[in-house]
Amino acid sequence: MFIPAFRRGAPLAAPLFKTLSCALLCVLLGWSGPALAASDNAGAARAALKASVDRILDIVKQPGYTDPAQRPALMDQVENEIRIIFDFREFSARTVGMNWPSFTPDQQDRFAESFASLLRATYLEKFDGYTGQQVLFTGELVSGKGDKVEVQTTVVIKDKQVPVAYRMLQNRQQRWVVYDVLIEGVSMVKNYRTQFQDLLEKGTPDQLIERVRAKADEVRKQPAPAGQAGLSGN
Amino acid sequence: MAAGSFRINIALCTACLACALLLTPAAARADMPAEGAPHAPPTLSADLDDYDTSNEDMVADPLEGWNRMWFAVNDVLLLKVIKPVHQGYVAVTPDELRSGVNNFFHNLAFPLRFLNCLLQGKPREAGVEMGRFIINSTVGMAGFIDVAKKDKPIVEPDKEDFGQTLGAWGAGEGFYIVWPLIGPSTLRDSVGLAGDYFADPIPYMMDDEWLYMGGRAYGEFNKADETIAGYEAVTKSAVEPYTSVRNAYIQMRRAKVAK
Repeated sequence: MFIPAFRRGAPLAAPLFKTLSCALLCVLLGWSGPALAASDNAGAARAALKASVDRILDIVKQPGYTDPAQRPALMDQVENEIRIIFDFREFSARTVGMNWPSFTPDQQDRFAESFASLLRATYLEKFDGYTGQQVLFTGELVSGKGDKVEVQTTVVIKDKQVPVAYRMLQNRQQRWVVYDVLIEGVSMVKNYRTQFQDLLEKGTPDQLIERVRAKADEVRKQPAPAGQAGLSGN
Repeated sequence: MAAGSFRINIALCTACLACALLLTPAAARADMPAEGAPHAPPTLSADLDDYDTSNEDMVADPLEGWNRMWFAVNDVLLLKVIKPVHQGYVAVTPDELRSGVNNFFHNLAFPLRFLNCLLQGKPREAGVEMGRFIINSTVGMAGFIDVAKKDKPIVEPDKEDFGQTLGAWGAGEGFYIVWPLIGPSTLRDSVGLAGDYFADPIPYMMDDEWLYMGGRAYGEFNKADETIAGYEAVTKSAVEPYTSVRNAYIQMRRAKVAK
């Protein structure tokens, strides 16, 4: 019933539709300025993180990674990549909070270093190699002012999907760097922060640095967790 | 001729409508992490740097002495008793049997998850739970095989429990408490555990409730490696393990309630 009418009207309607949609597009683009800026930031942050993740995955996928002789050199490469995308000073400053300005610059450096050492011992040195892990980028959150981006990913390990989010900001060189990692909603910065608050109430910054360094050494001596295979399904 | 084309047009319209309805599960596919597709514009959200201002990771801990004691006891129980026994169990038990048992007990807990989805006003998740339960109970051999896992339109929703329901209704956590063996909890989540215990329909249908409880205890033991791995992930790198576990538990529960 309608089809013949459509057929007759189509050649007339097409140019009209084209102009209308062009006009609508232009209006939408004009109005979406702030949203576009936000999505620019989000896109840049995500691109920076993705580039780092891809480079790291390339290194750990190499067959030499499981070879104990070649592993230390490859681990150093991974650590260099991590230092590019992670900003340990921003990380550390937030775990200490209001007390950070009361640290001397030397203490700040030593704290950031010992914290990086703890994270390296906990995560990097226990990682035995690539076993099919995948990182899927699922979305971004942008802060109200647009200067911080939370890039959300899902890490797929053998049937288990773990949501991991990275909070990023632009450092002084305008590079996007990570200042917090949230695993299943648990912020690493907040978790360490509650631990450090107790210690700082009872002791000095130097004592805190010593505790963190001692913990890093202790973690380094522990054997790697036996058996990475978990149950599928839950 | 005109009548014929009228009927064809109605048929076309109905076909289009049917296609539209069938395609709506595709929207559920959006819940699976999809990569590569052009990203939706990012959500503008609140502060991503609220570390100094928010104390959302803080919880009242008036029973700290009791909690620390049971935390230490549970630590020994979990790592020195359960872990070696479990490692022996894993060595002699085939993986398929272990995942089968896991799937079976997960399926059995469906009534509680379904009820809590409804109570939180999440009918879509409740429907998904129902769909998975039906598929797994029938094709999946009473739940031993998780057939529905591969079915993209019915991706598993978050596991809802009564503690989360109470949180969704606005109940605050109360305070932190560590139970023997069960581990970290809060006042609200403990009420939630009790609520789930009484709302579970299966013990009412069985003659021997102890058999059911024993079965569930075995189910928990079966997946103890996940519990132990999660526990060790939080405590091994912690400078203050008790605080770390408390904080991680609270953050995790708050994230779950928010979802």
